[in-house]
Amino acid sequence: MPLSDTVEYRTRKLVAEIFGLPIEAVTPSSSHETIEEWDSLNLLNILMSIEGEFGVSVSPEEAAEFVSVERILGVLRSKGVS
Amino acid sequence: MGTSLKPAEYLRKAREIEANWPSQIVGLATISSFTTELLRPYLIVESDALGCPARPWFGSFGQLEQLVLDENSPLWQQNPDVLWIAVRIEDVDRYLAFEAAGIGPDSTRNRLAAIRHRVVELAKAARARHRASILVSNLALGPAQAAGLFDASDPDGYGHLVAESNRELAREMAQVADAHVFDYAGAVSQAGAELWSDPKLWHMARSACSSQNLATLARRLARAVCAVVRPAAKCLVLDLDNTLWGGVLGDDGPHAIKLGDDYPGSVFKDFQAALLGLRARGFLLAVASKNDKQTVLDMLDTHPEMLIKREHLAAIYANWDAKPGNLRAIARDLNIGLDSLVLIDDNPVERAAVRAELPMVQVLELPTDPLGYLQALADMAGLDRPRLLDEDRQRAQMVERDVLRDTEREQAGNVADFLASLSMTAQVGLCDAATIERICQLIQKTNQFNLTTRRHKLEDIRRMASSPEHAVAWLRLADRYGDLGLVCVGILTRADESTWEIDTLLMSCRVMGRQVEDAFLAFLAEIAGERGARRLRGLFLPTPKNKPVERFYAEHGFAELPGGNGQFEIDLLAGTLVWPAVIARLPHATREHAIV
Repeated sequence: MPLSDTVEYRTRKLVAEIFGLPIEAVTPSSSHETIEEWDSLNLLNILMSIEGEFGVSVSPEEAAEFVSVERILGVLRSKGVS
Repeated sequence: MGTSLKPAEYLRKAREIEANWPSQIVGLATISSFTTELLRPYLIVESDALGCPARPWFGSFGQLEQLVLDENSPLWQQNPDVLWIAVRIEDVDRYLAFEAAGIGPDSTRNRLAAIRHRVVELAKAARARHRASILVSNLALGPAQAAGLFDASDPDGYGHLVAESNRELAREMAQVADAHVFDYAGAVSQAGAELWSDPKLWHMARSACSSQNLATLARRLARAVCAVVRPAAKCLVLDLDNTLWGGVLGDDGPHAIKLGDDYPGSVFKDFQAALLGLRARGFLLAVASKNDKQTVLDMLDTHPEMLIKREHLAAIYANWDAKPGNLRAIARDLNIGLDSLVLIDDNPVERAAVRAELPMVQVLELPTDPLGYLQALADMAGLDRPRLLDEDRQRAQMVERDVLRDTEREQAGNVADFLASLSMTAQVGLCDAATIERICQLIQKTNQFNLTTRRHKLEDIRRMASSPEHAVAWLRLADRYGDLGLVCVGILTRADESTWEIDTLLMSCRVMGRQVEDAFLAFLAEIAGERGARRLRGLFLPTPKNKPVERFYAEHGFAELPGGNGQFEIDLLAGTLVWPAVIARLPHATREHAIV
């Protein structure tokens, strides 16, 4: 599978688009602590984008986990997206 | 309009647009009973796509009166051009939908009225404090649809009561200047009530709608904003073959083209009916088509299935010339700017040619399949008019009479004889409640005969109309062909002890060349004189469109002041500005200081 099709790459790309960053600047460890604008409003934007991109439904409890790229990937893995 | 981006793409695109925002941008402030902040990237992208980029600002949800009533609030610090007041039933009377059946229709009506009074009071308070155009959401039933399948069967059903309240809201908003209902309920039903909201986004974030519908809502709101800040188009220029009927008239002949009550002719007949509907709303219709003129006229006059007839058309250009040239000719004939034209043409090559040569012309993107024509017309933002004035309803007939007048002019030969034959009568007066909306409309849209092109907002006009330092004057014209309506607007401002200045002087182009401007200038001089002026100062501020009047003041005996900033003055005591004899002057309303 090409790199650009991996779940990790697609997730990093979404986060990069949402925060206006180059994709290289977004790594699995990017989080609300490293990206200043990662607030509750943008958490919703991440939530909506992830649901649209991967065709999954994320519960409010799971969305509360969306504080870093790594944790987002964890939630996706738990839904069989990997 | 169907292309929906993903949420992250909206955010990225919004950021790109924001980085290149023009200096002229519409400020849109929102106060709401729910979270509207998520709309931000959607509004930026959708307003930009309509060519009317808006900079959105959002009050914290639930803060309404606090923001409106305090003149120093962050809302008013934004100095918005448009204010959206968005209140939903479920936010302010949370369980009304569920309780309606239990409390009965009278109590339900009262509780709906309480919500309505709240938003109307907000609109009035905003109006009293600021010049922003106001949009107020009407009420949607809400996600629960609590009342059930047979609610509509009950004459006092909840849905009927909400609809009644919305109608009352429209009546009450019509009493507030430059305030309009934003059809939020329409947005919900367009998208489908069941799919409108996402319970998760509601409970987590107090967001009214799901992520897909954020785009729908933003698009409609952007369209409403566009309509209140920008003048609507004036004339729809229609192609014929495969636009008004199926097939090619010149090749197929009038009997073989597709037009009638059965498919596919019925699709085109419906489209013609919709275009006539727009004509009734004040848009002119004209034809620009590569066709033989006589064949087209015969078709218009004799084809039994044609709904659009020759008398509905303000101009007919059927020839073999390039389309842009014909559009120019139509704009010239009708005395309107090219940016007031909308081209409706099935041929993508013609559309591209017009876009390339005349980028100011609005072009309707018709789909390949005529079944989509009606929807494309409904989606066209340039055709929204927030409020219809009588002048709009009568415009089409008035222009047709213009064509008659022009014919007479050609026959009369001598201008003086022609003008005398028109039996013109004019009435002049000062701005009052009956004239302010039309005055405002002319100020927003007049481009050619407009000496300063200052786009005063309704509130500014109201303020000047009731100030002794200003006078807002108008002229109405009629002739033997009919009433031409209010056609001139002037605003005078006291400059010093002995001088009044013409802040605004404009005239509808339909009455150019009839000495109406001489009559109106004489009236302005009269007002200034009555208020103690010895000198009248005129101002010409050039724009790309008002070249026809650059010599207006010089031609009327004003002397240009040194400095080259377009200032002219005339001594009123010399008495050179006189009312022309060819226009009879009707007695006018009181010259007392007008109260609006």
